[in-house]
Parts: sequence; structure tokens; C-alpha cells
Amino acid sequence: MQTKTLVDEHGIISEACRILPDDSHKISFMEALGELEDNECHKSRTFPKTRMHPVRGAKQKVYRADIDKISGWRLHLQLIESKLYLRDIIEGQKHDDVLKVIRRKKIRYE
Amino acid sequence: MTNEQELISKAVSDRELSEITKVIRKNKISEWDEVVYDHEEWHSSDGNSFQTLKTADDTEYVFEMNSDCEVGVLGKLYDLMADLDLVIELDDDCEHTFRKLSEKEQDEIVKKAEYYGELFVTDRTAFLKDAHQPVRFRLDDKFDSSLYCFRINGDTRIIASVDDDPIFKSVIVTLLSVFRDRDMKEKFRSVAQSFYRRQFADVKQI
Repeated sequence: MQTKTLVDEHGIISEACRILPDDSHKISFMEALGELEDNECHKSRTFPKTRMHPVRGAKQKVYRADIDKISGWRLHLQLIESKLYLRDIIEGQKHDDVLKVIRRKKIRYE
Repeated sequence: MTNEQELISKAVSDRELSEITKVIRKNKISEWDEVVYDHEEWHSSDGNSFQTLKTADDTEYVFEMNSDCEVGVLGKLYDLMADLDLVIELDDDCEHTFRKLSEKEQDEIVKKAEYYGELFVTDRTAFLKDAHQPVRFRLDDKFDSSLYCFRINGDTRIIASVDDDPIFKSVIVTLLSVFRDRDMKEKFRSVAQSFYRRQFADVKQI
């Protein structure tokens, strides 16, 4: 099975083991990593468990991925040379930004 | 995606060329015997790279080679480069002000947002000449701000983030504020801090 490479230079996995509140979250964390590695999800660009999506406002191609939708625990990742680098594990937030798409079109690059 | 200024050319090894030629013949991509020439390796500003080569019928194909040196055909270069979406979004806080504008003004802002989004892809140098960052931020001590201020007309300005999204093959322009007759630096700082505090634990002005 082809997988997307995940890189953990900063011990995010280790930190997750320490700070996630219970075993249920730790299992969810493992499942999230599994989905992020799954090349089929990347090919189809759908991530049903983690709802991975780009973070707006940062130059370095940062993505947010849910660990647990209810509690809001999430990961920040960065895409570098086709590899996903784990950057942060973040505690749950009360709500997310609401963004409305008002136009979508194809870019023709010459 | 890729900027022509960043194109570099790399000499391809005989082994690589032989592998690529086999793949082309196996996939019946080209009917010609002499299938491969003009091998190029492209590098984009975001660190992605891919290889292209032309077949004898002058079509450019994109290949990648994995860590096991297996060659995969990704498709025709022209088709792949066309597959980039430009997405214009409106932040919740901005929508209230935006919807109060006339249709003509709303349309003008969206057209300008499209223009800058396309410029971001096609000519990054020209984009950076027009995209102002009166205040810069460092986010979680790791990331740099992609928030900019653009002039729409006369005294109307917008604050928007412009972000490259390679996983979903898009460029996203997110409108955060529309304003007139204000101290641009102070308005920018206030909008940015409000936006970033919702997403990052540590937001530093630099």
C-alpha cells in the first residue's frame, strides 16, 4: 500500500501520548495519523475522519486535522516536498472560523 | 504551482531514461520509436518537484519516480496545470460589511480578489509588488503571515489572506475586511490579531 510520508521531528506523537486526556482520544489520534498517511485519501482529496483542510493566513502550507471533532483536539501539519510534517497538537477550541465560498474557478497557468 | 523562473534543468541518468522510456512504451503513450527527449526537472517555490519530458510527437508528460525507483506517469503537463482551482472566500466578520455594499462594489472586490489570486500563481514577483503587509506577524514561532492589504479603487481597500493549497490543488483568497478612509496600519493590525488569535496560540508582531 502506498502511503504518504509523515514526519515527526518535534515529538508530537510523544507529546500526544502525554497530554491527550484519555485512551479514547489516543485511539482517535492513531486513527487520524492512519488517515493522514493514506494515499487513497490524498488521491481522492477526502479526509472524512480528520476533515483535513488548509489553515488560512500562514505562508508555509499549514493544514489542520481533527483528532476528535467533539472535544476539538486537533493537529497542525505542514506540507514540505510532498511530506506531511507534524507541527503541533492543539487543545480543543470552542468554535472554528466560518468561511463562505463566494467564487470558484479554474486557473489556466501558461 | 510552478514558476518559470524557478525551473532548473537536471541531467537524467541513463538508468532513469531507460526506465521512463520503458514506461512510455508499455503505456502506449507514444507511437514513435524515439520517444524521449527534452527531460526537465521542475522545482516550485513550495519545494515540490516533478519531471517532464517530451515525446517525439511533442507532447509533454509528467512523471514521478518513487523511492523504489518505480516510474509512474501522472498525465499530460497541460492537463495537470489546468487543474488548479482559485477559491474566493468571505470570513464571517467581513460578510456583514461586504453585503452592505452595492452589487457593483461587491463584484469589483471579487474581481480584484480573483486578479490577485491568479497573479499569485502566474507572477509572484508582480503579486508581491502590489500586496502590502503594513504589519508582519510570526505565528506559533514557526509560520509567517500571508495576510495582505490590496487597493480596490480610490480609497477602498481589502485585507485578505492568499494561500497556496497543494493538497486540494487550489489557491485560496480569504477576504477578512473591506474598509475605507482608515489608518491602514492600525486596521490591518486589528483585523490580523483578531483573525490569528482564533487559530494560533502565539501571535507575535515582528
